[in-house]
Amino acid sequence: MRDKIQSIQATLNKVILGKESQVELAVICLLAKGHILIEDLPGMGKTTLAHAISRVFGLEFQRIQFTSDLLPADITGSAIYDKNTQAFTFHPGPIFSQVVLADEINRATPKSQSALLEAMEEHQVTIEGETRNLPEPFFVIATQNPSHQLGTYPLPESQLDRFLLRLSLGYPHPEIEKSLLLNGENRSFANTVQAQMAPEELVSIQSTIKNIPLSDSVADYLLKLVVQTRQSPELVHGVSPRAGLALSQASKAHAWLQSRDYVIPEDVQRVFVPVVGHRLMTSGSSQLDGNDVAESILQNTAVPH
Amino acid sequence: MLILPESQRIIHAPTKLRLVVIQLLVLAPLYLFIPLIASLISLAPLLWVFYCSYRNYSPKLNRWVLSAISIGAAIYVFVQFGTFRGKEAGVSLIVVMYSLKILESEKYRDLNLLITLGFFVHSMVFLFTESFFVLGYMFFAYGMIVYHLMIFNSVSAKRVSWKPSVKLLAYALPIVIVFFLFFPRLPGPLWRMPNQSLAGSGFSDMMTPGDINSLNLLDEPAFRVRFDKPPPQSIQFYWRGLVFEKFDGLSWSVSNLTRKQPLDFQMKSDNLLTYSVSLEPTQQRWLFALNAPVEFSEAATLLGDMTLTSQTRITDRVRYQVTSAPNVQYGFNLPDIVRQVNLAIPKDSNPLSVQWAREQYTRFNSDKGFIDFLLQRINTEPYYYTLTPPIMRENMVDDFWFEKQSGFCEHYASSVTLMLRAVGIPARIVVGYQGGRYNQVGDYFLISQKDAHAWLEYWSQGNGWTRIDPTAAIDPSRIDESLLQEVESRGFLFDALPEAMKLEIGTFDLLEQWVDSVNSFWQEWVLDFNQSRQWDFMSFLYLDKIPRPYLYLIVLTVIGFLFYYIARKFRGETQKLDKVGEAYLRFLRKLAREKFEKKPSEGCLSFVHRVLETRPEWRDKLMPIVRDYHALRYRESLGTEGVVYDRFKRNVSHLKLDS
Repeated sequence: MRDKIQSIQATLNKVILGKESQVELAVICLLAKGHILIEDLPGMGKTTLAHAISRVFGLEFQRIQFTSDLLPADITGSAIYDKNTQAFTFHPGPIFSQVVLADEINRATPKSQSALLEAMEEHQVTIEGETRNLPEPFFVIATQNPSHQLGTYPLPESQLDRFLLRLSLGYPHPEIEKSLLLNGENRSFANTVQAQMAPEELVSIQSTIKNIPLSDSVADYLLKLVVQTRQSPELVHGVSPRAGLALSQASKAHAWLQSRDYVIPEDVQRVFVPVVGHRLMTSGSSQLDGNDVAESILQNTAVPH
Repeated sequence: MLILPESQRIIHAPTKLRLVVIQLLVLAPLYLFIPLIASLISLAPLLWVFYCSYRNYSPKLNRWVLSAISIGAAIYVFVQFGTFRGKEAGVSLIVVMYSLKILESEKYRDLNLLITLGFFVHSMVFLFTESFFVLGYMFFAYGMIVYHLMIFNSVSAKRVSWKPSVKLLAYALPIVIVFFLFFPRLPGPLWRMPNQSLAGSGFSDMMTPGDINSLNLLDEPAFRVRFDKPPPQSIQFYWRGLVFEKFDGLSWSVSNLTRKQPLDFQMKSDNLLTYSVSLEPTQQRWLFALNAPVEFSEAATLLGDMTLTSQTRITDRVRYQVTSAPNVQYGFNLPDIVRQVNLAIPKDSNPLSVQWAREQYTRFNSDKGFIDFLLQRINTEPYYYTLTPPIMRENMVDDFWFEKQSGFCEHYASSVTLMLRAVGIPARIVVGYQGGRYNQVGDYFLISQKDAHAWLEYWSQGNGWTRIDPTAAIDPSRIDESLLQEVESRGFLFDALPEAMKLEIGTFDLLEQWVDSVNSFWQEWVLDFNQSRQWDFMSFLYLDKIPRPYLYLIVLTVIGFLFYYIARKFRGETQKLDKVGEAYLRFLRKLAREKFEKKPSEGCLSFVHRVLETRPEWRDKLMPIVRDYHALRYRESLGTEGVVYDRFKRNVSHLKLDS
C-alpha cells in the first residue's frame, strides 16, 4: 500500500515540478480524510495539481468554477420538473463526485460558498428536504486567490476551519520554470496520468490511519501547541477543538507515510503550520500572519521528554 | 510565553501609554527633590507621548533630533550643577535620561528595560528621604511595576489580575526582614554620596539678634526624649544647648576660655530625672540636656558652662542617656576670668541702655529688685513678641529697648543680659529648646525646631547661676496674633496663658501623635539599625555566644539556602520525569557534552538526525536509542518495564561518544 502511495507521490511530482513538500501535504490531507485549501495567485498550477490528484487516485473528478453569480443549486444540483413523468427529478450537481475542485472559491458569494461547505463537513447535501449522501471517498480541493485581490469574498473563519490544511504552491524554482518554458506545460501530461489505486484501497488506508493510536506524550504536546494559540497576544482567538482533531489526523497520516504505526512529535511539527496557519486570525495591530504565529508557537513550545 | 523574541516585538500605543504612566509613578517623588527645570525636561517626553497618542501621531523622533535633545539635557544638568557627580546632579541626569528613553523605545526589549530600571530609579527616592510615610507610596509604585511587568509579559493583557503582584511583594517582605535583621552589617554607611551636605537645622554657634527680621519656625523634630519615670508636673523643660558669653557689640558667641574652667555644683535634693534623648543630626557637637546633667553617656563631656558636648559631630541620629538634677545649684565659685567675660560690654556699645540701666539700678538696693523691675517693665510697657521684628540699628539693645519694643526671645534675652552686665551682675545667654509635646502614643516628648529658645542666667553670690526668661514676662495681650495660634505648639513658653492650660487632646492631635510615634519607631529601629544594634539584637536571641565569623557564616548559609529554595520554587513548571524521561535526559546530557544541544522545541528524531549530519559515524550508536525511546514513549502498549526499557537504559548508560 505504502509503495503505491509513494509511486503516486512520485507521479504527482512529475506533474508539479519542484513542489515535493506541497505534494506530500496534499497526499497527507487526502489520507487524513480532510479537504485542502490551496491559496495562491492565478497560474501557479493549483488546478493542475487538483486534476492530477484525482486522476492518479482513480477518483471521479468534477470541477466547479466559482464566480460571483454562482448559485447554490449550481453546486448541489436541483430538482427539475420532467414533463414526461410529470414529476420532479433530481439532477445532481457537480458536488456529487469523489474529488471536487472548487476553483477560486472566494470569488463566489458567501451563500454559494456555504453550500459547498455544508457538503464538506457532513458528506451529504440536503436539497428540498431530501438528504443525499455524497460518494466516498469525498475530497474537496478548493483554491483561492489571495484575499486582497479585487472581487473576492474572504472565507469566514468558521468555513476556513473546515479545511484540514492550507498550502500555497509559490513560484517555481527558476530552473524548473525554465524547463517548463522549454518543455511546454505539464497540463497535458496530467491528462495522461493513469490511476494507480482503486478508491476502495484509499478508503482502507484512510481507516488504517484513523486507527493509529496517539500516545499520551504526543497528545500532551499537541494540546500544548493548541493551548498556546489560545493564549497568544498576537491572535484574536485560538483554534477550535476541531483544529486539534485535524492536527491529530494529519499527524497520523504523516506517521503512516513515514512507515510508522505510532505518532512522534516530529509528525505534529511537520503538519502544524499548514493545519493551523489558516485558522489563526491575527489581531489588527499585528504585522504577522497566521503562519508566522504558528511557526513561532512551534519554535517556542518544548517537546515533552 | 513570548510569541516573538522581545527584540522583535513592537510596543503598541496603548502599551506605551501604560509605560509612561509607570514612568510618571516612578519619577513623581523624585521631581520634588531635583531642580524644577530638570523636572520639566523630564516631564516633556512623557507628556509628548500622551499628546501623540491623543492625536494619533507616532511619538518617534528623528534619531539625530533625539541625540541632540539628550545631549542638550545632559549639558543642562552639567551647567546646573557643574558636575555629574553628587546626589542631585546624578539623580537629575538619571531622571532626565530615564524619561527620554521612552522616545526611542520601540521594542519589547526597551519596555522590559525601562520597567525593570524603574525599580532602581524609584529606589533613588531613599537618597532624599527615608521617611516612613514615603514607604506606602513606594510600595504602591513597586507593586505597579511588578504588575505591569506581568501584564507586558503575559500572554494576554485581559487576564492578568493584580493580586499576584501584591502577593509577590508580600512574599518578598519576610526575606527582606530576615536580610535586614541578620545580614552582616558594615560599621559605617556602605557608601557616601559626594557633596552630601546635610543641612542640620537648628541654630548656630553665634547669635546676632538685630539682623534677623524673620524667624522661621520649622516644624521639624529636633529631638525626642523618653523619661524613665514620668517627670513631675512642676518641672520646666529648658533644654540647655549652648551658652553665649562673649559679646562684641553685635553678636553673642561661645567663649572657649570659660568653657574650660572647672565647674562646681551642689545638689539640693536627690530628685533625679533620667531620660534618653534621641537627637536628629545637627552637624554640630553640642548636646541638649536639662539642668543640670549629673550623669551621662561616655561619649559626652560636661563643659564649664554646664553644657554637654559630643566628641564628634552629630552627623547621624544619636541616642544618649542623661540623668539631670533639676534642683542643683552650680557655679558658686566664679573664677575671675569667667566673671570678666560675663561682665564685659564693648566700649560705646548701646550707651543709652547702659546709662539707663545704671541710673535705674541706683533706685534698688538689690540685684533681685533690679531684675524684677526689668521684668515688670517688659510686662507692663508695650513690649511685643513677634517673629518678624524690624531690623535694628547697630546698637541693637538701645533700639529695641526704647524704640522698637518688639522682638523675639533673642532680643529680650540679649537686652536683659546687657543691662545686667552694665550694673555689674555677671550674666550670659543660654540657647536651647524650651518645652516639648508629650506623645501619648509613644510615651515620649517631641521637641521641634520651633521650640528653639533663648533665655539668660545671672550669677549671684551664694546662689550661683540663676535662670531668667524675660520672654515669659511679656503680657499675653501683646503677643503677635499669628503666634497665638502657635501657642498650642509653643507649649510651655507662655505658661501664663490660660489658653495654654485649657488645651485638650483632640482627635487630630492624637493622629499627629501617632504619626510622630510611627516615624520615631521607624527611625529608631529601621533607619538607625546599625552594627551595634544588630549585635544587641543578636545577643537578645542568645546568638552572641557564637564567635562572629561563624555566626556570619551561618547567616550567609541560611540566606543562601533561602535563595536556593526560592529559585527552585519559582523555576516554573518543574517537569516530573518518569524513568524513561530520566534516561532520555542522561542521553541528551551525553550529547550535550559533545556540543550537541537539543533545542527545547526539537523532537528526539530530528535532533538525532541533526547530530548525524555532522557525525554520521554515530548512526549505529544513536539510532537504536532513538528507536527504543520512540517505542517506549510513543507506542503506549510497551510501558516502562520490560526488555525494551532495559535495553534503552543499558544503551544510554553504555553510550560512549568519542570526539
